[in-house]
Amino acid sequence: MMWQVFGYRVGQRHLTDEQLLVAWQEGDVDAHLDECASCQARSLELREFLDAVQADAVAEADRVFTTERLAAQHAHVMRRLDRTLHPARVLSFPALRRGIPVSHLVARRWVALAAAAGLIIGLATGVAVDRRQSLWPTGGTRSAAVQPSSIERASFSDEAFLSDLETAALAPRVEELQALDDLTPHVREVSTTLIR
Amino acid sequence: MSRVGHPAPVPAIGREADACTTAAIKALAEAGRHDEAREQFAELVLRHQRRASRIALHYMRDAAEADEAVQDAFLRAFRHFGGFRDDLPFEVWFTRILINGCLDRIKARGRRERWFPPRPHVDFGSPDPIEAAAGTGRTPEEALLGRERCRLIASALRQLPERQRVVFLLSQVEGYSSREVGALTGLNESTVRVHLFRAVRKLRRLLGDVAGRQD
Repeated sequence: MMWQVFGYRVGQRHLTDEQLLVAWQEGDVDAHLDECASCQARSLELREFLDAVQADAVAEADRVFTTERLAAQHAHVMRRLDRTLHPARVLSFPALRRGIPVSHLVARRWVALAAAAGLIIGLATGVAVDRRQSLWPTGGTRSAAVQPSSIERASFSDEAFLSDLETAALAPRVEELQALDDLTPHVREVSTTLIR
Repeated sequence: MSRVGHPAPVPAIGREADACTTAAIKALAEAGRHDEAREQFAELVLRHQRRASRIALHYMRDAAEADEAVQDAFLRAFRHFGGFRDDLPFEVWFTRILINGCLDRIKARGRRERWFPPRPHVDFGSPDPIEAAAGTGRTPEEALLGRERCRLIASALRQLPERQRVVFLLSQVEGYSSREVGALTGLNESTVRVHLFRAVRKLRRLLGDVAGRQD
């Protein structure tokens, strides 16, 4: 049942806040809202409130994200995209050459084979020589017999030294060096002094 | 009374342009022309970064983290462009990626704060009211009052429960329909409406006549 008093409808249930909000949110127009001045006023008040909140919330966020900041953000996103699309090259170390010709591989194989053969031959020779030396029982005495005694070697060297000295003393003297020779002590004098 | 409309609806022209751009990106990516796809994607970034930054800021409440979340979301969107279906507008698909990223970051922040003391709340900066008013046609007093009102509204929004706040922001601030908010948040349409109504009721109680007051 509904009456109209001074232009206002009475006796009809008004829209709830939720219904007003849905009408505002979804753009639906309730038949009652079209006719009820009270609900229209409430709807308008709600709209103003929500508009104000929206404007302030947007202003608050826009104050933080200024145009400069957004430009920097855009540039940053693009840089990161570039890095995704063109990732940095990873250089492996040590790097193996790719596409080595087969002939090179064969040559390298021969070099390795020759080196191994050389090593084996060297080892075998070493072992054989060692075994041969160990098979000579008189090896040690022989070497002792062959070696001259240290006394003999010393006497030989002393004799040679003295003979050299005599040769030097008896050698013809150079007249120009005679004065110098007179000034310096002779080897023979020094040696006799030392013996005494 | 004039017919009421959806608050700040997402322009259809923008969505049509998005549809063209996304189709071009998909085709270029499938043809292996990634550099050209990147160039097209740069346009999408330009078109959506402001809105994305706003949403991320409301989630993260920290400008630097919001910035990083937006960048990550764009990169993820580019990488997974093959998974984009045409039945949803690009911005809904992208916003979902962004929101998921923000939620992950919030979780990670919670874990971090369990071990390390949280950073002191960083205000977004309070510029001098005279400087803020310059070039806006407002007096410094009006600018100051406007800032104070912004602060009160931001504070009231922070007092809303997480879901109500998100639904309110997506619906009333960003202008998504209930169906789109449902697609973004994973809630069904009627739940979105319930959250939205509760958020509005609480905000009205908290703000009184602050929001409706003109500068």
